Amino acid sequence: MRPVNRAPDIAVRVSAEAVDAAAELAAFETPPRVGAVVSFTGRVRGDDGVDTLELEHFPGRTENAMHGYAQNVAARFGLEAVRVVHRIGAVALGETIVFVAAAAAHRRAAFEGAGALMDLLKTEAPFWKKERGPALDRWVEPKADDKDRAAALLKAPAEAAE
Amino acid sequence: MAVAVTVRAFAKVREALGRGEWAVTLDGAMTAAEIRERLAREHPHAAAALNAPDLRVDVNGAIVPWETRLQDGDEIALLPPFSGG
Repeated sequence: MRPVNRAPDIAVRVSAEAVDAAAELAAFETPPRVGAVVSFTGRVRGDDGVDTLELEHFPGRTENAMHGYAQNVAARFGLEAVRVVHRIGAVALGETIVFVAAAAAHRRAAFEGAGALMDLLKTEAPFWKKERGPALDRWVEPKADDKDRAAALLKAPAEAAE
Repeated sequence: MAVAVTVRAFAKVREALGRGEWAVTLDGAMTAAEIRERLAREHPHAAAALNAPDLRVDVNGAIVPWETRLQDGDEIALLPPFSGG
């Protein structure tokens, strides 16, 4: 059984500079009891005439929300450490928008925790994304299935994965 | 009694209003919904963005119902649906 009185190591930040996902992963230090690290890197995808994404945030509130959801997910899935870096400003095609790493004793918690945190970051943290391209200038609307997944996560009782 | 609040707007609402932050003095207590109506009257070109059914309001760091009554010094933020990640 997992001890309940150990605080997970949570590190979140927004970055106006390019995010180097490999360097973030290399810098992700985890305690010896960790046997599984899962990371996710989201990049700007070059479809629909998009060449840049413009990311807006709510300074202070956004960081608080990122930290709160990271803590929520860590408690729910039994993660030992979480790192989240989210870009703001103009992000070019192929560049990293978001980096999430989750560390746990076993793989399932790390996979599920990283996925759940991404679901929450998509629709529950104050970020706004605008698609820009030669013939494009459009605010992105959240996808219904992302919203549904995040809502289900927030509604479900916080129980650690087995 | 005058009530002074700060209003911030983000993303499509900020664009429609043409600015992201301003000070508003109210003639007495108003709800967040009444502020929204007043902004839409004063900025008709932003009315569609302000009246979007999925626009939410944050007061002093928490998302609250539009019926919330505002107090002197409150910080109000108009939040279109989030799209991070």
